[in-house]
Amino acid sequence: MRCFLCLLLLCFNGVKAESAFAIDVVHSENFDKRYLSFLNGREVMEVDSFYPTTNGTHLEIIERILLQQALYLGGETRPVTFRSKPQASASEFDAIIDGKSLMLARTVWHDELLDFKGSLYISEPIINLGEYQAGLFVSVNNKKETDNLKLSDLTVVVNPRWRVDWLALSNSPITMISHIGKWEDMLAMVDAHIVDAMMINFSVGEELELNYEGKHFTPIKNVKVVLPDTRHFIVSKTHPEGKKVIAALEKGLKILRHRGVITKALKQSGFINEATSGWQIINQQMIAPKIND
Amino acid sequence: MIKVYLFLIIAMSFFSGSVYSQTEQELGYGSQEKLEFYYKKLKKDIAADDNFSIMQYLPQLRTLAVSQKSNDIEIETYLLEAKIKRRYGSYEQGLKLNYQALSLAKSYNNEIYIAWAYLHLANLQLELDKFSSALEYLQNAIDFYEKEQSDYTALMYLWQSKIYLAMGSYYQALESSKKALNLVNSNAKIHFDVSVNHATILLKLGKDVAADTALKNVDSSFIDSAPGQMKLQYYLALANLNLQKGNFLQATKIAVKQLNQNPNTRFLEERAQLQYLVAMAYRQLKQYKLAYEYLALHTFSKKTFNLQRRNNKLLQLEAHYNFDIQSQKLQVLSKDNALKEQRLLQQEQLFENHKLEQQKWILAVVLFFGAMGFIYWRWQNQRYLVKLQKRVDERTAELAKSNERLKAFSFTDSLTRLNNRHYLYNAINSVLEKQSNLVFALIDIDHFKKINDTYGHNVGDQVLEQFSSILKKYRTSEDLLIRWGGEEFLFISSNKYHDSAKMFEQIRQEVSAHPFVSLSGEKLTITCSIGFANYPFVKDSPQDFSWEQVVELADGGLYLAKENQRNAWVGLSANENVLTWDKDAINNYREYIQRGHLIVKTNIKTNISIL
Repeated sequence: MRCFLCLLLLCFNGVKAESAFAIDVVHSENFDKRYLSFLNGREVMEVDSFYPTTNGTHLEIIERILLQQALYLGGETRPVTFRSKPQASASEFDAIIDGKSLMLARTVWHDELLDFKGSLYISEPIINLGEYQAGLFVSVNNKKETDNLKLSDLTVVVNPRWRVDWLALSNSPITMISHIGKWEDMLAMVDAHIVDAMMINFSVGEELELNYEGKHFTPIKNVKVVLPDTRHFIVSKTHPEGKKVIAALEKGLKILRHRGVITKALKQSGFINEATSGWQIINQQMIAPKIND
Repeated sequence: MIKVYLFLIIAMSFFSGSVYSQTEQELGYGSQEKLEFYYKKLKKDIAADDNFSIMQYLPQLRTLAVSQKSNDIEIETYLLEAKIKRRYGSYEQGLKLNYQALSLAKSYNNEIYIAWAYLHLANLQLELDKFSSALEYLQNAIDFYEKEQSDYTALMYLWQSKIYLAMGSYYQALESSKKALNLVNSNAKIHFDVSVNHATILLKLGKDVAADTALKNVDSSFIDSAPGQMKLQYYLALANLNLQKGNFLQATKIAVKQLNQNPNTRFLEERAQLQYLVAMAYRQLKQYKLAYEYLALHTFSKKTFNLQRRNNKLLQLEAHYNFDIQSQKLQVLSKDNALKEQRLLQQEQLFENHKLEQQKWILAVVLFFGAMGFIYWRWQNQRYLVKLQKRVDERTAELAKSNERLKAFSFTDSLTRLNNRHYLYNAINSVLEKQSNLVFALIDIDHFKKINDTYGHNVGDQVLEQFSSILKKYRTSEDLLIRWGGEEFLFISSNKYHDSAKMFEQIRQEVSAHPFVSLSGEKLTITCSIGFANYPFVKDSPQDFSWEQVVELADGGLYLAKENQRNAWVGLSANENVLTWDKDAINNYREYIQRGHLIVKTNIKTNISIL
């Protein structure tokens, strides 16, 4: 609650003192503490360096900043409030479809939006096709065993509900083990050697390693997976302010893209990880089909 | 050649026609006509999607195809049966039949049907979610049709695109679909399928505008006649397009119509998708109740579909498991066979080696015996040669002896056992070489003709025999006694001239004194006359007169003895005072006697008449 108040204060300070509009944040993905830590006292519009200050993925933090900067640059200068919402309905964006919410604070896979294109404004992609890449993380204490495995013998846990992840791994040579459950449980499966690996965004550290609750994971070197889709912000078509907000958002994103801010943000945050640029993408054919003729 | 490409038949009817009785009527036809009949019927049933009816006469059609050696139809019956069985979830059977079709096509070396068999196997693998295998099988068909760049090439790319679509690799699916779209030409069915598939991929990528264009390219006149599933896929894409565009009512209208038109149990996957689509459309129309209903229906369809799928997956696993077991068994068998073959080969090798060894030995034995035989033959030959040589030697010796005898015989007078004139000519040179002084005397029996005439030749012969015996007594080893002819003998004496005269006197006396007896016991008085001359006739010039001339001189002396007295001897010798001699002295010896060049020595007491 304290964080939320801080955020509100920050937002009020950062933008002109107009009536605020709310952007939804799914409760389970509330990361205000890390967000504030990243800002470290900076105004949102002042942020032009996206280097991480904490461990873990920074994509959602970067997206939140980019969203605000785009809206502002697009002319939507009203203060923004981030409203934490429990995921009560089947879809994460039911409320947005119905016009009860204006938009989400993070991007969504395009594939998930197909059935709702009639009800949602979909922004230009923040993450272009081929930019979303991830590693196959193994437990450090199981590294020796997994190092000697052929890719086809490598078992990777994946949640079939994460459709794009599922498709990406379906089109790679690895052996998939499906598990519908929490992310943490899947990581525990890797730690317990029930499966060999799990697909996770590359970490920002030099060694690209991931530490989670004292458990240590490392990506299989020289191997990565591309998630074959684009990610977009969505805005409700039925919300009274939808049209206006998407116009501002598209305009602002265009400016940011033109200025190279989006790419810079993705690179500096470690999302587009330079350390893995030479690594082999094991499902490359999904985004660059082999031309036979 | 009748051609049916059964793989294009996507929709299959559940209803069996009552045409079997008609089939029976047609059985009176010839095989070729029957084949034609079943074939037409097959086409009709495929068009009517009448699987059950097809299954009733498919075995007969296959038997006819085999008997008519119509390989294409035979393979197609397998492919069709496989497809029908797969349609109803009998994957193991389907897999076997498809492999059988492939195997047949390979055995007939029919490349087109090999490609089609691979396409069917790819479809099967796709139905079983075995995408990698499906792609691998399909690649064989693509490789075959790639050069042709025909509707069938488009069809192969279409199926490649469908596999990628099922895999969720939409960009790859789009790439293959573009190839298919570029290649498809006259075949309306393939064109329809390609366009719908292309639109479906574009919708998966959210490219509704491009999808709209693709669907507008579909030949609208073909839609109603399109096979059931294909038609449903078209309307699904159309409804989806409307959903993405936000035309929710239109989307529900299209989808609901299709849901109502198709039986509940057919095309479950498309049905579930349509229900979900309707639910999503109603949900966005805020008609939550309807949305809920369709979502429930969708859930039910999906559950049923998943159940069928799971069951099929189990069947698939079972099929693969059985197939694997069979493959393993086959592998074991083939390994076993290979081992047996290897053993057999080894045995054959051993046998061969043994045979070779035997042959070597036989050859060695043959060679040995050959060599032995040769040696024996050589030995025998040698022995025979030696024997032969010995015999030849013997014969030669015999012949020599015989020759000797013959020679002796030819040199000997059979009556008197004395050498004949022939012998003299043979031996004279050696005699002349050995002896420097000789006396040649001709001795003749007086009145021998009279004896023969009086007493007969037998007595004459006896006389000659006894006469020769007397002469032999006077012959030394250095002398020669020759029967010169008839009753005439040549005595070549090595005695000196005077000694010879004495010897001839003794001979004359003994002959005249010898008691010759005739056969009748009558005593005969026989005398002989002798003429002789010395050789060399002229001591200082021996070459002046040959021995033949000396014999002639002796003959002259004989004549003188006979003319003057008989029972006498006359010797002629050269006057040593005569230095030169003419050759005519021989013929004119009487003249030479008169001239005193020749000196006569005789036992005749009277003056010897020369004229």
